[in-house]
Amino acid sequence: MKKKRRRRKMLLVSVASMGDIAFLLIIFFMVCSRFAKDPQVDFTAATTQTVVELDDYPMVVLIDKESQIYFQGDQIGDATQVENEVRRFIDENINENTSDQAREKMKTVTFRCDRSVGKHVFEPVIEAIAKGGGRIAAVGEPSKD
Amino acid sequence: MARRHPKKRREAEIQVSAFSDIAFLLIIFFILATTLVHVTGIVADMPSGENTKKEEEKKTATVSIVNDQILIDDKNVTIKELRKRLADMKLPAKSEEDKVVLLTASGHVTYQTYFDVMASISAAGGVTAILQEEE
Repeated sequence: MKKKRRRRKMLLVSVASMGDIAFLLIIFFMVCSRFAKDPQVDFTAATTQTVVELDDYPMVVLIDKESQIYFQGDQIGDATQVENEVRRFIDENINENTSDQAREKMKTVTFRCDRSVGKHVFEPVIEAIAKGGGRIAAVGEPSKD
Repeated sequence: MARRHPKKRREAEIQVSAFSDIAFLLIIFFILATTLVHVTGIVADMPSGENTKKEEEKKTATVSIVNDQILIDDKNVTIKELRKRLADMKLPAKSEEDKVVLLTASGHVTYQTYFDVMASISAAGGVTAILQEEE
């Protein structure tokens, strides 16, 4: 008896729609993401009992573990420069037409400082932000206790 | 005359298979560059430095940090006691000027302690005025 050979069916997986899915995901990430203004530095946040969720403020000051000061991601020299930069930013972005809400947001500085940094470094910077007319939103994490 | 054979039209195809590779590379980039973590912290209202001396002249509460030890009106307290003392002051009910709490630091003070004290003042509804010790 002659055996009939079965023809094997080729399995085809359609991947044409993968590109569409991928582009949809890209659009999602582009809409949702914001670029970090902080450089990739060694930084451990301080902790406290009560913290609130902070908005995305336009000014960012950072002090890393090595006591280096950054403004908007760029390393700067000292607290005096922070004061000048904060004052300049406020002068450039706030005018008489700015609403109170926008004014408050523009004046607020996201302040990130490593928890181990000493007073001789962070205190002049905080003072400089206040002198420059800024308001401080200090970044911290909730403590476990 | 021989009959003309109709010319077979070539189908124009654009290769799009590499598109998905590019797309996935972009996705990986966005995944790595995106921060999904919500930033938390405290918002501290501070009078500008020029006003600090005026605040000093008035009788306002003073919190001092000396070598990471917290003192309120020269009495040594823990952070929990400080929070309680500040809550007892009922700062939100006071006028803007009376909400001011002076904060001084001397000796070896880390940002962890300073932040904790600043957060306690803000949580109690106070306004932190930094008093820098003269060098």
